[in-house]
Amino acid sequence: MERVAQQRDKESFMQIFDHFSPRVNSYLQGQGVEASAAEDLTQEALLALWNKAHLYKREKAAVSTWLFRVARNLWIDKLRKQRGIAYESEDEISELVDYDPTLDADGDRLLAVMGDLPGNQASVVYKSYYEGKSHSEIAEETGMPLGSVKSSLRLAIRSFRQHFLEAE
Amino acid sequence: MMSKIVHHPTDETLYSYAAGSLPAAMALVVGCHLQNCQRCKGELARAESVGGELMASLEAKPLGNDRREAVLAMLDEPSPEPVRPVVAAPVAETAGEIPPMLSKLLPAERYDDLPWKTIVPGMKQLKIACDEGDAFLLRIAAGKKMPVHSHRGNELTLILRGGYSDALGKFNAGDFADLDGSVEHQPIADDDEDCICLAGMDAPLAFRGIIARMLQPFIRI
Ligand SMILES: [Zn+2]
Ligand SMILES: [Zn+2]
Repeated sequence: MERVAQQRDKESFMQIFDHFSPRVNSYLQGQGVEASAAEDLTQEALLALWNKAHLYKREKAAVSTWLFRVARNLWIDKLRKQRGIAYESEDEISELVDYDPTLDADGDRLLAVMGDLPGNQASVVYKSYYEGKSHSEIAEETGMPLGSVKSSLRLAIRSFRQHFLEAE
Repeated sequence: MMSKIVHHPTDETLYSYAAGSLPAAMALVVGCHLQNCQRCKGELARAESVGGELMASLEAKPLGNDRREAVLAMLDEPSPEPVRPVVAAPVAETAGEIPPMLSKLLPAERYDDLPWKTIVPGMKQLKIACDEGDAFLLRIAAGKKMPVHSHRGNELTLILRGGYSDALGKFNAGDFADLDGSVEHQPIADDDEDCICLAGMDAPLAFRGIIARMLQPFIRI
């Protein structure tokens, strides 16, 4: 009986794996992680999810948030010599994630909000989330003054927040 | 009593922390604030769910088939790390203590035991090794006025103990000052105890005034 449950668990986990691992991999490569290292980290993030079985049975939104956090932290730890310099550890994360679905973004609506952002705002969000660039790096790269980088990001966040308010 | 936190990071700072795009020195200051701030934990969760959704919408780049096989095989292995029992946060007052995230980067467990370096009378500093940007602890003697200064880049400051006042308001333990280059200020530490802050920045400060300018090469904050 347990074996059957175990078998089913594996199947449902592998569905999650097939859905999310290509996206986590894509995210990490966007951050500049070299291809085989990105696959290593993706594998590590997904296995961490398996080891916290109660997590992957949640809604997709919660799973994507959790994987985003873990992939980000794994990558940052690899990048920096000191591990865990600025983020909670995975164990602490798994406790934190246990709340309030109103904090989860609704994917389609969020992407619609993204699509409606003016070009400079969307590009600052993109560089920040996908390329992991700091405000001053974005300023340098785009030639925008630092203050404009921040205000663009601030306006984009205001639109995201509007989305959360509507979702509640 | 830990006073109520009044000053928080700006939206763009929190979202950049969520995106993993703050330099380490600045992320450390935000991370320490988050450990005590429920309001910002909620905001962070939203920013991270934005990250999750954006990640989920990326063009798929599947892993090699061998990876899938390897993962499937590993599912039978016992979990590598036993789940640590979650230690409940001490109910006792934590204001004035070193935040755990910071503590592991420091050579002593109490502020008074740290190897502070006096930079000018009434101001001590301790650099914290960070891979990106400059992070340091600053200890301002009770009642001391700092020189008037502005910042060339961003300066994030978390008040750990005591408090100070400047034109932006009163900052107490737990409060977060998120300043950019346009702000010129002169913090004055409270009279009753030394003010200890954690600061992180990605560019050196630009002090104003002739004496301050002379000090700058030594202070390097
Ligand atoms: Zn806060
Ligand atoms: Zn300052």
